[in-house]
Amino acid sequence: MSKIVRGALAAERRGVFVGSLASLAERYPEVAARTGSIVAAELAKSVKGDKFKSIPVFCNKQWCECPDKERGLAVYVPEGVSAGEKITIHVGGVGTRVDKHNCRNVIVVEEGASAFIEVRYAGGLCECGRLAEVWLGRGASLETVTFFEGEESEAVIEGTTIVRCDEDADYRSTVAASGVKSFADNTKVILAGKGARATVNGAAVGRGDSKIECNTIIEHASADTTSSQLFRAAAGDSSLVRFCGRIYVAPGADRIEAYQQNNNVLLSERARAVAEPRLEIYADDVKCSHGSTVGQLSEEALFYMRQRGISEEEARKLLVEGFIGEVFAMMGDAVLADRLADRMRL
Amino acid sequence: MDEILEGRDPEYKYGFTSDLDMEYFPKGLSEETVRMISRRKGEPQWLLEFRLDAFRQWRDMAMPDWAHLNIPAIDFDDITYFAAPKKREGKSLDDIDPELLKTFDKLGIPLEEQKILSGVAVDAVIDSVSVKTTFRDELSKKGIIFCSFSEAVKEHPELVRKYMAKVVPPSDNYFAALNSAVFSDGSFCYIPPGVRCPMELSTYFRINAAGTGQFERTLIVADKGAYVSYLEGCTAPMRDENQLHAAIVEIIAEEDAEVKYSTVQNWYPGDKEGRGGVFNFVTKRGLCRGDRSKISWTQVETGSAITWKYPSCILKGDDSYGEFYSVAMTGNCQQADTGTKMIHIGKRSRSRIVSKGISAGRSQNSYRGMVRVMPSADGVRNFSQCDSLLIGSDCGAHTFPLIDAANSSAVIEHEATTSKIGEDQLFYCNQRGIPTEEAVGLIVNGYAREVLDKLPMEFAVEAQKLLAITLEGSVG
Amino acid sequence: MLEIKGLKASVEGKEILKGIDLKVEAGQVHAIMGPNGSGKSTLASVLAGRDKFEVTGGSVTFEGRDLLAMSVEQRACEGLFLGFQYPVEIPGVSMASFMKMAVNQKRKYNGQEPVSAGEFLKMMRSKSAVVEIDSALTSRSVNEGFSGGEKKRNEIFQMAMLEPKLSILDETDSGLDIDALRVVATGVTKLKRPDNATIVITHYQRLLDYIVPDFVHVLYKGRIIHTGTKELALELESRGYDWLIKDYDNE
Repeated sequence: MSKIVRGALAAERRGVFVGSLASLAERYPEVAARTGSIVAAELAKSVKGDKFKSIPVFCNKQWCECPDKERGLAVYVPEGVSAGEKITIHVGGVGTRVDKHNCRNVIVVEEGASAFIEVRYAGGLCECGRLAEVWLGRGASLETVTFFEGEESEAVIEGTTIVRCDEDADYRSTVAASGVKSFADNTKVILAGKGARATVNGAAVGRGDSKIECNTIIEHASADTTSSQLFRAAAGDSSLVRFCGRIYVAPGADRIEAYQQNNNVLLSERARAVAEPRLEIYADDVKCSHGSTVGQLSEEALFYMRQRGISEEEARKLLVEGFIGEVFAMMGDAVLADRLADRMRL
Repeated sequence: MDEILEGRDPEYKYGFTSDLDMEYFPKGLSEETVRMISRRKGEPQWLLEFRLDAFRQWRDMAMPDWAHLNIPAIDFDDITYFAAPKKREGKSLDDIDPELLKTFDKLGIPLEEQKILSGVAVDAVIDSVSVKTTFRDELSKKGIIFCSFSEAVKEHPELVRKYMAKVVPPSDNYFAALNSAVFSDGSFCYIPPGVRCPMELSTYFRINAAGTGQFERTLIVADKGAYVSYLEGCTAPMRDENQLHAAIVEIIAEEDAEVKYSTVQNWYPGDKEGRGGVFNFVTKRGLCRGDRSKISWTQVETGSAITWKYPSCILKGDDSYGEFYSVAMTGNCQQADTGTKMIHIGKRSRSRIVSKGISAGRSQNSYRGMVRVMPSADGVRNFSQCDSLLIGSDCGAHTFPLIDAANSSAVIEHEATTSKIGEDQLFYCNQRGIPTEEAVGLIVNGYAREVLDKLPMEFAVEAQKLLAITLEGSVG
Repeated sequence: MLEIKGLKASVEGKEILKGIDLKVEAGQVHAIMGPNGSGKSTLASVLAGRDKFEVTGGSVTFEGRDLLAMSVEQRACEGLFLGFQYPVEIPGVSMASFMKMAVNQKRKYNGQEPVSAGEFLKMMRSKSAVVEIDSALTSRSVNEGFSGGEKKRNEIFQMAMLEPKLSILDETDSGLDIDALRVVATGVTKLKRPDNATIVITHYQRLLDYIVPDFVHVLYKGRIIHTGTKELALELESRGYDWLIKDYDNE
């Protein structure tokens, strides 16, 4: 059960379609017919089990049980249309309590079109699974920001997003993971056309005994594509933060640049960080790198701040905020970036 | 016996076979095979039971498939598990088959001590047995035991029982279980407390017989405050069929002890079309048991059709240190999945990983690593650098590290890069009159320098030559 | 204001300060000079409360209170400021939010209300003029990507913002060209008041051309071996330390 609230009306005036998957099928049958095929193709690959030539999809139960099309939600941005104002997708109703929740989103941004979409997991959620299929046409541009907006809760959230970028398309995403007992975000981006770019970022703050997991796969299926990833996590209390990021460069996909950076700080004795960065390269004209660190807040910086009169506790908070904030600083929406930084405060 | 592929692959200069007077066991693997090996070697009951137990475990295990390797099905009943040059009476050099001496001479490993210029003691292993260990007497004056594994079982059973399978138990993995059941020979080395081994110790492994698997076992123990540097070399003849090599190397370093283990692995890699070559499934692991102990692995991997190998360190002692320096070069149709595990248990234990992968031809080359920090391990430091170099567009280079930190004082840094050989570097060399092939060799050597520098001198020269050979023909 | 008596401190078991005696009164400027490794920076760090150093003897009182019993931030809020020789970079934390927090923590310590956003901005603007610091720097992360000169100016800017009673400037002149040196020194002079004091730790006399000291102390092997007036600095400049050290080494 996801619905669009803010931004939808303004966007509709500009020609953007927002509505159920069923009504998308009525209004834009050819678009509706196209969608679903990325998911199907991914699924087929994993069934064939050719472990070298395909990338297995994420383990997500929704892949098998396709949810009711009525319940799904679609955003369609026609050719050349700029959606303008931010569109917000609420996953799970505000104030309602949903025990088990599967939702399907389809986002299609056609050639030359652009949009900014915010995905909010609502506070009342208990358990939620979301699957999104995203199509970016030639030269299309999409920025997404995903976060949980409730207070600290026992919710279990798993979201999977599969993105296909055609020539010169630009996909940028930021996930802010905190506040729930278990948060798993899976993103796969297929850079299918020349000049396509992906920037996939994430920030996580683990409190209590929460478990936060970010999994990414960037598939450079075409030559001349670029990607960059930045994932930062601060693990407090007895939380676990995990990052598994894969960069895959297909045979013949030359002139690739792919970068990945993953930094973790452990704030408490019982916290744990796991990092699994992976590079799988089948072409030779590439520049790929990944870096991964696990460490603590800088003692030097803490001393410096305390010398200026800031208490150790406040100094720690500020340092974590700065560490995490660098991820949000790359977002296109400064106000939202500030709000997220605020939410992620220890 | 199989056809020897004379002249097919001139780059592999160790591809000859020797016509030795041999003794073979019939092909096939059963409890009876295990008993036969044990009987043939006149082993005590406890070792037979160890083997049988390992064999039973192996029977219930499946071949691991998590590596980034395409491993053809292996028919374990189509392998000979014991092949040895027939023994003559006596023990002096004059009693060794002259053909055997010639073989090792040809490999550049003369077994007559007076011929050896550098101070290196050698245990020469051919197929299933050790044929000669040099400098034994001189070493024994210092209390150092350096002999074949079979002899160690006879002469120092208490040491073998105390240390064997303590780092790699048979249950560890499929190939470790297989080795534990059928291992034939290998080297044993014990350095007593406070002794600094005065020369490099080395084992040279040679597969000669066709259709034979090699399953050797090496056990190195450095007692408190001891030091030893150990070298391992290996070659095999060129054959059309694949040959199986499943070895175990165990190292134990007690308090303040240091062990350096260097390998230049040059098993036959198969021909240009991917025919033949050695399947190299090796479990190598060191235990830094004592405080301030140190284990250092250096490997140059250029041979084998398939390499599956992760020399690792269990850093149990406080302030212990583990090191892994690796160059893995694959060409033609070779596949390598190699790397290391650093398990930090001791406080302030540190580790360093430097891996340089080079892929050429149609090869696949993967680094796989793990750095794990247990909750008890305060003040751990790790630094890893994994670089991959691609030469040609039909090869693959992959990196699969895993970091798992469960102690908040850990500082771990991992960096990895993948790139093709620099065109501007090549152009610069060309402009100075260096042809492309030589230029590539030059650049690759520079790229691998940090690891090659870790090798003892003579080994480094050899390794450099091997890299050049593997590169030949890969530059178009 | 500050009274150091027989202060001894060591790091990893090695004694660096071997009994320092020093008295600083309000309105005074003290310069501490000395060859490399004599313990100048250690003294500054110990006064600021860096826990890497272990105080093994002696006492320090600041405005009549036991300085050594206070935490790092307490000392700062009491009005002790350390200008770092190597100011640390803090990525992701903007100068503005950093300074705002520091100012408000001090106000809270003194039982004052936090400053309003408008007031704070005004303060930032007026103080940045003192050290001729580009106000664009204040929107960047703390010291990140700052040049050597910018970092040092930023230290003086923070000193202006926090209005300390006692400022200890640790090698503030190192790595500065003559223009930057002048700006930094003028800033310090402008901030000088009858009710505050400054300790300038320096290697060279040139800084003392701008910041005129009332006393010059020579620190050597963890002890103050000689004290004089500003003329001593000039003498050190022309004669070096050897004549002093020789006397001391012969003792």
